[in-house]
Amino acid sequence: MPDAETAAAEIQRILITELAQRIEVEPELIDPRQPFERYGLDSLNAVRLAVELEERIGCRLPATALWDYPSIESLAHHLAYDLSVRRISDQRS
Amino acid sequence: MQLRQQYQLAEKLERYLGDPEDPAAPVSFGAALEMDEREEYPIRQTAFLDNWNLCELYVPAHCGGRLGSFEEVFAILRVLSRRDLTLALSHVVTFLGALPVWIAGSDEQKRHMAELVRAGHKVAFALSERMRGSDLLANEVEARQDGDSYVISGEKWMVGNATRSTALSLFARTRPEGGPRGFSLLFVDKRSLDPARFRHLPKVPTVGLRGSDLSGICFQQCRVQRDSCIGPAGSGFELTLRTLQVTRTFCTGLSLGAADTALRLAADFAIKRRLYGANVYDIPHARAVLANAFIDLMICDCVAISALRALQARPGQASLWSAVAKYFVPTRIESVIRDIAVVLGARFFLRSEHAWSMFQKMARDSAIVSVFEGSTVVQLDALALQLGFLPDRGKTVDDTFNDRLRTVFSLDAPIPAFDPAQLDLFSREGDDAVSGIPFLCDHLRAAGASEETMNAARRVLDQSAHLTGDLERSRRLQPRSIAAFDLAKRYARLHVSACCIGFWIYNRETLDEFLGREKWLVNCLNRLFAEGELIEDARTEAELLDRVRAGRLLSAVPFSLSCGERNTYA
Repeated sequence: MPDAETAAAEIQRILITELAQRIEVEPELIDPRQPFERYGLDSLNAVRLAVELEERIGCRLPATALWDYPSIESLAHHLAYDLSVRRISDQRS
Repeated sequence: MQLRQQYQLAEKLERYLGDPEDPAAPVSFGAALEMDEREEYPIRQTAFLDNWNLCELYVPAHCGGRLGSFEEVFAILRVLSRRDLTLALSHVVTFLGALPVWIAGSDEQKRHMAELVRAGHKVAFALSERMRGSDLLANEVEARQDGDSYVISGEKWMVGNATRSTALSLFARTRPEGGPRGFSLLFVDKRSLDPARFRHLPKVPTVGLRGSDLSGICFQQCRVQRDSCIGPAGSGFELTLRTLQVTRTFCTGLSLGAADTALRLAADFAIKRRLYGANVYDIPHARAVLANAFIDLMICDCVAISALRALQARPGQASLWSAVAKYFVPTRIESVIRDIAVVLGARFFLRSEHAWSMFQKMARDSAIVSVFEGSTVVQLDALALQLGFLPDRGKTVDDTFNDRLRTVFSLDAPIPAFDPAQLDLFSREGDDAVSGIPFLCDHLRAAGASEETMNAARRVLDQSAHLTGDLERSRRLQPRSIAAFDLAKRYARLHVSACCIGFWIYNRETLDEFLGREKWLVNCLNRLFAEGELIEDARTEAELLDRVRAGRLLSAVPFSLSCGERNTYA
């Protein structure tokens, strides 16, 4: 599924940018395999980030998405493969 | 004016319980005070409530009980709380304990729970631990999976009815590493446990609620069936947060019941007591203090009743409505009780004479409400977290908006059945109350509201416009900072203002003359923005007297109380 693969990579890039902005570090310092917790995101702030991502990605996410997919890599994979998110809302014309 | 259906049961319960001033009544102030002194659990009184089948109201209709309207349970809770918070909590804890099963339990669990509750067994919600405060994910009681069972070890502490309950909803760590998916809620029927593997901990001595069973339970490798898990394994944290949205809204009923008695006693004193050659009530300042407390109670009522109705009408917004209600009402009532203590002078400090010791007991007992079921700061945090992400008002105010507001605010609007699946940790629908401020103000103008009313409404409107930009910027505020909490408080005040306006608009034509006046709304709004200034309004002062004399609840929805004929005032 090359489509899904491309989408996963794109979503992963967006998630890294969002998280880096949130915690004020350079995106290069974020490891997508590490749990969100590692970056100081507690359970309730993870809920808030899920809602924030919903806006960016243009797809309804459960508030608990980051609890179930606790790293950038697993979340991006879930969005691209399970929810078939192919496009990012910001890129829509 | 006929009393609305959802309040009729509360009035019946009032009659059943009798006049609390009468020492011979089944649930009297006198007995409550004596038992409080002796730190004695209200066994006889809870049994008296069981005989009335109050437990039926804790079980949803589709599970064989009579629970249909949260507003109805709320009114009942006030009737109990105005007599004795220890009794109210001792009984209503079962409703809290059973709620996770109603929200997420299996059919078999619901059947089992309904059977227990309807038979008068007590159910506790075993959540808190000695060292853990509000940090649920730090809880240590563990339920380790072992084949077809869970093996429970650890200690729960400061749990209402921990000892006297037959069953528990138990919050336990089911993954050693914890985390938001590392906890589950277990439905534990203590009768099925090996008695050698658990023990109850002694009651904790407390300043208020002295007769209640605030104790604990300690498990040592105690085995329960795997199917005791409520909802999927790992859903305990989420389920607890959703349960608390409901239970914390009900906490407002405890505060409001206590405030009714405190204000009633103070007003009664002011009417009878002579000072400087006149009654205390003839002193303008004393009269204004009491009347302003009465206005505060009605403001709290608007928030609480709307939040209770919103649980059923807009459950997706409950994360906001319940947080505002739980933040605002208990703290406001604490300050109301402090304010009216001034009128009593030194009497508020007494534990010896009946009426004054009851005032003191209400002050002590109600002081815990702002702490449990998520403290005031927890509520402000829950609000602050969401404020930067509320949807644009333009998106939420559509053709259905008027009907939506009517369902929440109008006491006559049919209320949908509670749908727990709609409770969400974050409101994607925003907040119809605050989004509705411009709509509600237009409504007032179209109805021909006076200049005075429009001025009060415009202040709310201006603040709401001002807040919009601050909400946007709040995304960058540090969590749990002073600025984040200040913003949450400002937001809460706007939500409360909107509830007062909405409550008045949608009920003014069917409420009585006192509540239907524009001045009633103006007083509420001015009080909210008055920053401690007292409002002078002869009509409110007269109404307070009437209500105390006639024995009617000090509420936006007054109903008749059991007050004996001994209430003859000079």
